[in-house]
Amino acid sequence: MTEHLLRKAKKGDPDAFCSLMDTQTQSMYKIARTYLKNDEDAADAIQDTILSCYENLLSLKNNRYFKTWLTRILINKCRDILSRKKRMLCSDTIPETVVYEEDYETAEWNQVLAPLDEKYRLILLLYYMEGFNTREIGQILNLSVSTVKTRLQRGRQLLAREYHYPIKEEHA
Amino acid sequence: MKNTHLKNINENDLQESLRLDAEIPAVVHDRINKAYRVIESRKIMQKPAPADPFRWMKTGGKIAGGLAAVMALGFIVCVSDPVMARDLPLVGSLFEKLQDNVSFFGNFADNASVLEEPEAAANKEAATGEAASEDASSPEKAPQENGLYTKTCGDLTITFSEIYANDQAIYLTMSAETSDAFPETMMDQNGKPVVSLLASTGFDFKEDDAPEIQYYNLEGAFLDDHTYSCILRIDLAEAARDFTEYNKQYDLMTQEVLDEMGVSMDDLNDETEEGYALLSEFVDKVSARGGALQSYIKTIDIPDSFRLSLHITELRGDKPIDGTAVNTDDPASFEIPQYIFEGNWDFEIPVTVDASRTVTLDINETNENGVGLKSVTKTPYELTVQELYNEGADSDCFLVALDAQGNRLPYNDSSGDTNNFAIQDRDISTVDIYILDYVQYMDELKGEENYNNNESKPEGEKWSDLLDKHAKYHKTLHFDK
Repeated sequence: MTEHLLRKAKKGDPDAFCSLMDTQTQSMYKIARTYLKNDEDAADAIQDTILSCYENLLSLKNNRYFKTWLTRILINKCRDILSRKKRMLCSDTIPETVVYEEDYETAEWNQVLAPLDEKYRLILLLYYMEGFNTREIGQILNLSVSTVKTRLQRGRQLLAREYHYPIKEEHA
Repeated sequence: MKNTHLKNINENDLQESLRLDAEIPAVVHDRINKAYRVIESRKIMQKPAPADPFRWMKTGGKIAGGLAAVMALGFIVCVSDPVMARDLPLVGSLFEKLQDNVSFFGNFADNASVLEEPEAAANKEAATGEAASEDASSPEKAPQENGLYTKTCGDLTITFSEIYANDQAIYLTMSAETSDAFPETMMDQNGKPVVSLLASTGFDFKEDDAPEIQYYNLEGAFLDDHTYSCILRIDLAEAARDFTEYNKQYDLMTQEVLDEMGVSMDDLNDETEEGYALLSEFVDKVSARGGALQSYIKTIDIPDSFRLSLHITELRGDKPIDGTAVNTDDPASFEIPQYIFEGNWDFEIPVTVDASRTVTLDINETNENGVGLKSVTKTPYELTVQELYNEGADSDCFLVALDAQGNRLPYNDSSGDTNNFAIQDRDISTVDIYILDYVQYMDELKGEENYNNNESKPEGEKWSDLLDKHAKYHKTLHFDK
C-alpha cells in the first residue's frame, strides 16, 4: 500500500500523501520521542518532517528507500530542535519548561529500552521496531556502519544481561 | 525503575514490545492535522525533481577514524543511471568529463598527458591477433594483449587513457567495458556507482619492492550500459614510505605489551567481558607507545619519472540492496550482493612527477601533551597532514582540518585516509588543524550540525570553539592563495 500511495503522492495527490503519512505516524512518534523529551517538541518535529517530506518528495527517485529517507529527515528535525533549545539555554533566555509526561515513561514500548544509555536506545529502536539494517541505520544517524554494529551489539548485550536471556554472540 | 514484568524478555519479545502501538497524544495529532491543512490548501508546493537527482542531501562521505576507512555506502536513492550531461569523445578527454564529479575535484585536464600506444604494440596485435596468456589452465582469465594501455580478459576490457601525477598521488583515467551490459549498481549518496578495484602496485624506484595489493574505491560514472569510467587515484606519498623498520618495531612493541599483561592474542579475541577488558587495556597501552614509532618510517625519494606496475585482478560493483531487515540468524544477510569480474589485467605505465604545485610546510613540533604535527602538504587537489607523537603520548587520536570559514574540509573518498582531505573549492588560505582524543571526538564532538555554515554562527558557538575546548593540539596554518 505504501508504494501505491507514494506513487499517487508524487503525482501531486495531497490525500494520498496524507494517507501515506498516517501509515508512518506511529514510527515517527516513537523515534521523535526517543530523541526529544516531550510531546510538544515531538509534535513540532513531526509537523516539520511532514511538510519537508511533501516539498521534497520528487527528489526521492527510488521509492524503496522512502522509509529510510523519511526517518533521516525526522532525525534531522529532532536535532534542529535540540540545537535551538541548546542555543536558548546558552543565551540565558528562560526556556520553556520541559515536561516529562508520565505516560511516556510507563509506555511499554519505551519501558523495555529504558535501562539503556541514549546512544543505544535509538539504534535498537530502529533495528528492532523498524527493521532497518545497519547500513540504513548508519545513513539515518550519520554514523559509520562499524559504529552502528558496535553499538547494536553492545546494546543487545546490555539488554540480555538486564533481562537475563542468552544472546547468540555474532558479529553484527 | 526496574521493569520486573519484563524480566524474562527475550529478543523476540523485545521486538514485539517495541512494535506495540503507542497512544499518540492530542498535541501530535493536532500538529499533523495542521500540516495536512497546509498541504491540502496548496500553501506549500512540491519542488520539481532536481537536475542532479542524486544530490538532494549534501552529506559528505563518512569515514571512521584512524588510518582505516569505512566506506559508508551513503544514502541510496537510485539505481545505475548515466550522470554525464556532456557528450564528448571518450579517449583523450576523460579527465574533462570526470574531474568535476570526484571528491578531489579540480582541473586535471589542463595538466594531464595522454597515454599513447606506441605504434609497434598496436601493429603487433593487429598482425598476429595472438593473445598473451599467463594462465593456460584458466583460459577465461587469460589476458589478451590489445596494447600497452588496453587489456582484455574474459568479458572485461580495461583501458587507461590519461595520467597526471604529482609527488602525492597518481591520477589515471580508466574505462572498463563489457560486451554484456553492467549489472544494476548501487549508487552512493553523491550519485557515484559503488565500484571498486583489487590491484597490486609496484614502483621501480623502490628497492626490494614487494607489490602491495589493496582495494581501490573508484570514483566515476557509467557512460553507458557497457562502459564504466573513473579517475583511479594511487597514493604515491604512501608508496614512498618504507615501513620495514617500523613494522619490525611495532611487532616487538605489541609483543612486549602482551608479555607485560601476561596474555596472548587469543585471550584478546575472547568475546567475553574479560576479553573485552583485556582488549581495551591492550589498545590503550599500544596507543601510548605506537605514536613514537612513526620515527622508524623512512621516506624514499621519488624520482622525476619512474614506471608504475599495475596488476588488476578484480573489478567489483555493489548491487542495490532491497532494504529488507537483517536476519540475525543468517550471517549471509549482512552481506551486500556484488558482481565481480575476475581476471588478470597488467599494465606498465610511465609516470612523470609534477612537484611544481606542491607546497609542504615542515612543522616538526609537539606540545606539552607530546602531540603535534610533522608536516602538512598541499597540492591543488588535496591536503595531507602527518601527525607527530612523542614517546609515551597517547596516539589514539583523531585529526580534524577546518578551512578559512571554520568548516570541516571534506575527505578524499578515493583515499580512505582521514588525514587526507579534498580541498575542492574551499578557501584554505588559513587551515586549522585539531588533534583530539579519538573516543571523545566520536562520542561528543563530531556531528553533521557542526561541519558547515560556521561562518554564519555566532561567536562562541562555532565548531572551532568546541574543538578549542577539548583539543590535545591545535595549529593554525597559512597558505598563500
